[in-house]
Amino acid sequence: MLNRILKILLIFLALVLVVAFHVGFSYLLPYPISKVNIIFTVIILLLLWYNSGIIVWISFFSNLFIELFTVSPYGVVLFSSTISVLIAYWLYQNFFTNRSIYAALVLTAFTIFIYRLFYIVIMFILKIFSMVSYVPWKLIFITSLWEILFTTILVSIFYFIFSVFTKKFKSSVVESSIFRYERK
Amino acid sequence: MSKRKQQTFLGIVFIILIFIILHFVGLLRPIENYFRAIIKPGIEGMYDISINFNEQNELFKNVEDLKEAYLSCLENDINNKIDMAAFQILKQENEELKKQLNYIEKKDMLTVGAKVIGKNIDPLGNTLILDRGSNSGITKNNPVIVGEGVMIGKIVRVEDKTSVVRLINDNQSKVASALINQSKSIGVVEGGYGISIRMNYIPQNEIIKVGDMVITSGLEENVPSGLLIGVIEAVEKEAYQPFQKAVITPSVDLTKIKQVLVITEF
Repeated sequence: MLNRILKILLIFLALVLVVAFHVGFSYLLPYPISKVNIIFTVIILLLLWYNSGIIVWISFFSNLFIELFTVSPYGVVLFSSTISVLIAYWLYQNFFTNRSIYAALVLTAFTIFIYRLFYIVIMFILKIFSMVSYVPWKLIFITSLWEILFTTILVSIFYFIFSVFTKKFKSSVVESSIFRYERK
Repeated sequence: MSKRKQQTFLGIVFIILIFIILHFVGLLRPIENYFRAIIKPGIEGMYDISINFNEQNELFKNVEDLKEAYLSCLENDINNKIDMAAFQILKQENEELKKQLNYIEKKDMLTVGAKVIGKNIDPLGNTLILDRGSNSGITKNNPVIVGEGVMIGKIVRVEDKTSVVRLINDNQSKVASALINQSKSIGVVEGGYGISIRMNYIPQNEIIKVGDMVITSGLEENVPSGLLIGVIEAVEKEAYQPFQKAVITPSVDLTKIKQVLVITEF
């Protein structure tokens, strides 16, 4: 019981740190590098490491914090990010056959693409119903492209570093993928 | 999609909706304030570091640059002294005229001092987060100034202990403004043009020139007149257009703001 409480406290502390880093780096780094998404970087690396559904909840709670630092209508970031991580998790479980730097690259780009797609669609719906007065579409598209580019680069760098030091990130078959069932 | 996946998807959507509803009802506010308080020191520190870092990048590249800047400062200093002398004379004249007209002085502005603890991180706008909120008397649409009266934006969101300022260079920012020129031209200062801002809807027949100062006109609710916004950098005039535009350089660097005053009453 005590162990579980300690574990939850540690996860909470880690979440706070990740959010602080995400917000802090967006202030510190020059444009366009500042558009790198630290939260998605951590989420994707955790997904590749643990391949567990708890990652979706980690994403949910970290983006709950992030909502405090955005001017988008409440829930847009939370909904888009959580659902995109859920889709990424399913995709990784069912379609990715091996764990490699290329898989990490594709998964990161795809997750952020889905995240921004949801974001844009929700903003579009809110605009139709006049719940937001103005949406800078061009800025959102440009930001999304930089975000995909720099987050993918960052995930690749971390993946490469981890693969040097741990066996976990060495190229291997994803056990939960559809090919596992074929072997049986 | 399998039934289990459908249930998971719907379950997560349901939980997100519950959180959104709880937020709008206000039941999440104590938890949100608690989270803000936990994250605030880290974010504030990062914001301060980013400002100091940006300031360091502006050091002079070589001795010639330094000399040039020094000479420019000297020239500005002389001009400022001349302006100050003229200002003092005008001030005295103004006071005399006020006395003659039995002018009743308006009460002073009520302001709340606040520290900038962060800025917005999504692409929707240029905003700053302040460490004071509704508990300090701040309300939506209060103008925000720095120094003696340089307007930087308006409050767009208020929480108990924090508030969000929409800067004048934001896409959605609009401020009723006036020029200090012969015609006392009025217009609307709008953001969304990068680091500069624009004054639109200036009648075509009025004479405006580079260097004219832009102030708030007071024709807008909640914003007093006479707050400095910036200086005209360029004029865009097309013969076939009913209005002319002016590109304005804000009087303060909007990326390096640490302390502000929120005007709550005037």
